[in-house]
Amino acid sequence: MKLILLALALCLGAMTISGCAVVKPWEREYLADPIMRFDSNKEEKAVREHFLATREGSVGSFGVSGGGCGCN
Amino acid sequence: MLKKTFAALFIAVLLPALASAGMVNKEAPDFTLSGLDGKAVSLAEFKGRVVFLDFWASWCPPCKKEMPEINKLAEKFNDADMAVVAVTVDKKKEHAGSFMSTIPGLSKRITVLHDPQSSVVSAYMAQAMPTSFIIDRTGVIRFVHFGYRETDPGEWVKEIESLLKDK
Repeated sequence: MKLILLALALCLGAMTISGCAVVKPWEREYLADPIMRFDSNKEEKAVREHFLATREGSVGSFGVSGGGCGCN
Repeated sequence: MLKKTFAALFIAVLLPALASAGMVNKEAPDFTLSGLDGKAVSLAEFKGRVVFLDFWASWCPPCKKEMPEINKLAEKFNDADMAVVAVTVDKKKEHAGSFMSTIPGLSKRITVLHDPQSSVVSAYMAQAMPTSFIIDRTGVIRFVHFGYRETDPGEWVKEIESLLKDK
C-alpha cells in the first residue's frame, strides 16, 4: 500500500514538474500577443458580459442587467 | 531544518537575478548580427567607444516607452565617443522595423540589430525586457539596467559620462 502511495506521489510530482516551464523574458512574444488576453476585444467582451448577465439574471456582477431578454 | 529550507529557497529565487548582475566587470560577449538593413555588424567594431547595448522587442510595452529616450541618448553624445546598439529579439524583423519607423526624428546613430534566435540575449543573461548594458571603451560591461524606469535616462547619462572620462 505504501509503495502504491509513493508511486502515486511520484507520478503526481512528475506531472507537476513537467507542467512547469520557465519562460525567459525574451521568449514572451507570443504570450504578449493581444490575442492571449481574455478581454483583447472590448466590444466582444461587452456583448459577452451583457449576454451572460441577462441570461443568468445576475445583477451587479458585470453592471446593470436587463429584464432577461438580452435585447437592452 | 526549516531555516535551512528557507535559505535554500531564497538562494534559488535570487540566483537567476544575480546571474546577469554578475556580468558587471566582465568582458562583453562578442557577437555578429545582421541589422534591419541586412548588413552584418559585430560588437568588436565598436571597441574604443562606450557602447550602450539594449535588448528590446516591439511587443514589449516598457521597451516602446524606452526607445524614444534611447533615441535622445544617441543624439546627446559624440559619435566617436559613444555608440548605441539596440538588439531586437522580435521573431520578425518587420515588426521591429515598423515600430522604429514610428519614432519621430529617429537617430541614425542607433544601430538596430536583429537576434531572432535569441542567441545573443541569452549569452548576456538578460533578466528582463528591456535590459541594457553599458560597456566601456575596453569592452568590459560596467553597468546593467533591468527593465525601464523613468529615472533610467538620467542614470545612463551619468554612467556614460563617467566612462567617457576614462581615456
